[in-house]
Amino acid sequence: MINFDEELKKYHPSLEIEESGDRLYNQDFTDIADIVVEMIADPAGTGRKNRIGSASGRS
Amino acid sequence: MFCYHCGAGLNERDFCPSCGADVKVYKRVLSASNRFFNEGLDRAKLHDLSGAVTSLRQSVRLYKYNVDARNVLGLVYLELGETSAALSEWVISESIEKEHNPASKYIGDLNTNRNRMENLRQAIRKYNRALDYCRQGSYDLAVIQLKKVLQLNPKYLRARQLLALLYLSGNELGRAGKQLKKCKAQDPNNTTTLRYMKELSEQTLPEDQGAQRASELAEGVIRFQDGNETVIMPAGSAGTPVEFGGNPLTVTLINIGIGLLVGAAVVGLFVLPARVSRVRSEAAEQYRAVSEELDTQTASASEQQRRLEDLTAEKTSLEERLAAYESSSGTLSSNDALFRAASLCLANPEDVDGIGAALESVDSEALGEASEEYRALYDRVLSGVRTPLVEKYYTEGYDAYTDDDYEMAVKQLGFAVRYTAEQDETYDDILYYYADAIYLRFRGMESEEQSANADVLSEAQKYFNMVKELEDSEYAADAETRIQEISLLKSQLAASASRSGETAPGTASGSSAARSASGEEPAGEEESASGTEQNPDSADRAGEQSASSTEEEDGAQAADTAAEQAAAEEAEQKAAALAAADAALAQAEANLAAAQQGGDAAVIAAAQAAYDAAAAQRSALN
Repeated sequence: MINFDEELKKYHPSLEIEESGDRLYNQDFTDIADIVVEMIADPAGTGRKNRIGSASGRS
Repeated sequence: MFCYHCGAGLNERDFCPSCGADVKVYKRVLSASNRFFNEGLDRAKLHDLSGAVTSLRQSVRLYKYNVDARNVLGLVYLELGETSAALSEWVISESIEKEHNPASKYIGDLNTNRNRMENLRQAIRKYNRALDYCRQGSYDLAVIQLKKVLQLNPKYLRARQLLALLYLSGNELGRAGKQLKKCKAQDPNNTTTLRYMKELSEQTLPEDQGAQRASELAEGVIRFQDGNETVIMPAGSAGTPVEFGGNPLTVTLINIGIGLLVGAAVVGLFVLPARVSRVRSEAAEQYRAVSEELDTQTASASEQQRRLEDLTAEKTSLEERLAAYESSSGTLSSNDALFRAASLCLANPEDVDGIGAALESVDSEALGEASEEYRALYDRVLSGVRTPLVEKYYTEGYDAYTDDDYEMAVKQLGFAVRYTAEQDETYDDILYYYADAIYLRFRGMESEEQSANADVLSEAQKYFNMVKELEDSEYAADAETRIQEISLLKSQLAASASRSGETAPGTASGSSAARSASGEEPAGEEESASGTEQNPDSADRAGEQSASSTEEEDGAQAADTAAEQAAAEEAEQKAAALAAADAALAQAEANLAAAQQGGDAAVIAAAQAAYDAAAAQRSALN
C-alpha cells in the first residue's frame, strides 16, 4: 500500500531553465577520478601533494 | 585516455610515458566510466530511460569529463520531460568540449523553437505549482495543473506519475490506470510506475474483497469501482471488462452480430422504404411522362390524319378542276385551238378548211367573258376566213337541212350562225334555217327526249325572234308562225309534265329542271302536239293556254327550286372555269417562251397576244 504523503515527498520541484545556470556554477563537480588523483597526490592525506601527483593538467 | 598530470596520451602501461605518473587506478576509473556509458547507451536504445539515466549518471560520476555520456544523458532527460536537467548536461558538455560537440546543436535546436521552449518553461512552472497545491491539500487544483502540464509537455513523466498518484489517492482507479499505462509505454522499467501499477491492481482486486467477488460471480454479478462510481454488471455479459472474466472473442463476435442486426433493422425500417418510395415515384413519373408523350403523339397523329384528309379532298378538287380544264371542252383545249388556228392563219391564210376546223374547237360561249386581247386574236384570225367559212358552213348546213338531216344541219348552221354577221346577205337565211333545224330536230324526238331537251325550243325561239325583227326579211312571217308553234308546244309540254308530277317548262332555267325531271310521258301529249302542228289556230292555242294556267303556277314553284339548283351548278362551273383559265394562262406563258426561243416575230406576236388574252380572261373570271 502506497503512503501517499511519503510518496509525495519524493517529488521535488523542478529547476526552472533560468535557475539551472546558477546551479551549475554552484555545483560540485568532483568525480571519482578527481578523488583518485588526489589520493595519488597525497596518499597519506596530509595535505601535501607529491610532485608528480598534481591534479592539474587533466583534460 | 590522457594523463591527469601532463595531459600526454597513455598507453597500456600503468605509468604515464611522459611524466611517469601512476595512472593505473586512474585508467581503471576512466574505463569504468566508459563501461557505464556503454551500458547507459544500450538501455537508452531499448527505451529503458530510467535505467539509462542510472548508468549514465554513474558514468559521469566516475569521470565528469565524459562528454558522450553527458550528451546522451541530456537526451534521455529530455525524453523524460526533464528539460532543465537536459540543458544542464549539454551546457556542461559544451564547456568541456566546445568544438565538434553535438551538445551545441541540441541547445541550439531548443532555443530556436521559441514556442516549444516557452511551453517547456510553462510546464515546469505549473508542475511546481501543482506540487505546492498537493502540499497544501488542494488535490483538485493540483490535478488541474498537472493536466495542463501534460498538455504543454506530454513527455513529462514525473508529472504524469504525480497525477496517477493523485488519482490513486482519490480512488479514481480508471484514470489512474490510464495515466500509468502511458507512463509504462514511455518508460517500461520505471520503478515508480511499476509500484503505482501494482498499487492499482491491488486496489482493483483487493485481497479482502476476493471472497466477496467470488460470491458475486457465483450470483452472476460483478461489482467494481470506476472513480467515484460503483459499477454493477451481470457476469459474463458482452460489456464485461476483460479483467472480470469476459471472453474477448465472444464479446467481439456478439458485438458484431448485434451491430449487424441493428444495421439491418435500420436499413429495413428507414432506408428500404424510402428507396422503394423513391423508385415508385420515379416509375410513376416515367409513366406520366410516357402517357403525356403518347397523348401528344396521338393528338399529332389525329392532326396529321385530319390534314391528310383535307389535303386529299383538296387534291381531288384540284384534279377535278384540272380535268375540267384539260377536257376537250376546257379552256386549255380552247386556247390550243385558237393558237392552232392562229398558227395556220400565219402559215397559210388561204387554208380555210384547216383554220375553220381549228376554230371549231374554240369555245365561242366563253368569248363573251374573254379578254379583249383574246377576242382580238380570235377576230383577227377569223377576219381572214370568215366569209368563206360562213359560206362553207351555210352550204353544208342547208344541204343537210334539205336532206332532213337536222342534226348535221344544226351543227353546220350553228357554225354559220357563229361566224355570220348582220351585213351578210345570207344572214337571215342562216338564222332562220338554223332555228328551224333546231325546231324540226326537236319535233323529230321522242316524247321522253323532248321532255328532257325542252330548252332547245327556247334556243329556236330566240333565233326566230331575231329573224322576225329583221327588216325586209322574207322569213319574218314564217318565223312568226314558228314562234307560235313553239309556244303552244311548250304549253303542251308543261301540261303533260304537271300531270305526271314533273316540273313544267316555263323559263330557260325551268327548262333545265324539266330536263332533270322523270321521263314519264303524259297521256295524249303526242296527239295534242301533232294537232297543234297541223292547226296553228290562235283560238285553239288560247284555249289550251287558259287550261294550263293552273298547271303553270305549280310549275313556277318548281322552277324556283330548279333555279336554285342551277345557281349551284353555275357556281361549280365558274370554279371549273377559273381552274381552266389558270391552266390556260400557264400554257400561254409556255407557248410565249417557246415562241421567243424560236425567234419568229409573227409567232412571238401571236403567242404574246394569246398570253395577254389568257391573262385577261383569268382576270375577268376573278
